[in-house]
Amino acid sequence: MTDFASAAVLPRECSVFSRYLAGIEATPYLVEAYTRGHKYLPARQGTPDALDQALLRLARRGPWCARLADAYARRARPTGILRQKLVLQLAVLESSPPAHAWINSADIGPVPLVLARAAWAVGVSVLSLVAAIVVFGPLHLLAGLRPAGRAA
Amino acid sequence: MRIVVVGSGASGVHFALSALERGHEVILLDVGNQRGTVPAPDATFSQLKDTLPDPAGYFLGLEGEGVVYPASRPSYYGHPPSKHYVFDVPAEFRASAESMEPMFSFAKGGFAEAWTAGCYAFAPEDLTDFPFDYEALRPHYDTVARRIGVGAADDDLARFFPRDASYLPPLPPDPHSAWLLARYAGRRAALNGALGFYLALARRHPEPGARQPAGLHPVRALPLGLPDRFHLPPGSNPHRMRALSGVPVRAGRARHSLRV
Repeated sequence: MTDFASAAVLPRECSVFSRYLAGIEATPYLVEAYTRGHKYLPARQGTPDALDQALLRLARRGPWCARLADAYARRARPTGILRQKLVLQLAVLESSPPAHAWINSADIGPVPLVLARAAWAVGVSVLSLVAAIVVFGPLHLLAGLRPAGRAA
Repeated sequence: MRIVVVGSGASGVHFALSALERGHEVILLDVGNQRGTVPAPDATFSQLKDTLPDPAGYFLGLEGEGVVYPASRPSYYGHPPSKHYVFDVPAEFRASAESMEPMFSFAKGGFAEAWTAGCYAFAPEDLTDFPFDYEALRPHYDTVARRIGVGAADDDLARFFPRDASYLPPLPPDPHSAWLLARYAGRRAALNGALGFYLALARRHPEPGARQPAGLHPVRALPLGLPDRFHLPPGSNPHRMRALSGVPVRAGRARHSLRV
């Protein structure tokens, strides 16, 4: 697979990652900045293995799939291509409108409300990780058992 | 007397002005990378994101070269691509260091081109090999702070380590940081008292062998290659810091060497 930096898939990725990370629709500027940023993506130096490719493919399907793939990638592939792309997209979102104000805002409100939001976030993260382990755990084991050079 | 000052950074211009005030003739020389056009110089950090035609290009680099990815080894002194001209190293320059990360400026104007109004006074032991001591320097810190713009605010350790000069007010923090500081200020007394929690910059011991301020623990070495003889508030120690993910704490004395 060599399409991880292809202009054909990047707008779709940008759209999904924008909704996952900031809950907004990607603007043409965000797509353009996200595409430009791929020139220095460290993953361009190598070929993603089977697990990296599977995580990226699932993440492109939609925000909830991205959450699932991200939950697994942050433990199994913390420096992999999916995490690199999410870091790039978050950097673009944080640097430009319309999402930068929301990203840099404080979660202000009554303590019970803030705690409730935090509990919700923790709950979603835990459930995402459990679901991700169910989905990707077997694939990860399978990829690990394959002889070297055949994983991709 | 005719004086040639090499370098027009914060130190160079301060010295040049002092010499001019004493009636000397000054020639100020500098060479290096030239600053480009500053976009929207009056805009705040947040306003830049809304007003620049290509904010991501400005903050991250035109092709994302300023993004710090997982597993990459970022510089401790992170700076945006718009400041690359200050730190772009000439091909013929060589330097290496251990346990520290020295900074070099290659811009006309020196580090003043990337000035953040932060600068720390020498400690007495820094000056043991100089023909003057800390007390001789102390009165001049006020002048330097006023001329080049050094800001400061009291933190929780100010009671143990009083200020060494009359600094300017600190630069205004971004709204998020201002909100956090305001919230902390409302709980400062309780956190300092009941939990022994202090929000402060680590301080260097006033002088070798001096009696340490009551309630503070000496630490042999802190993260980020700082020298020894720093202090942390009660409740903090290197053993606990080692348990924190991503906080490298080296035991023993920090060593450093530099070849230029």
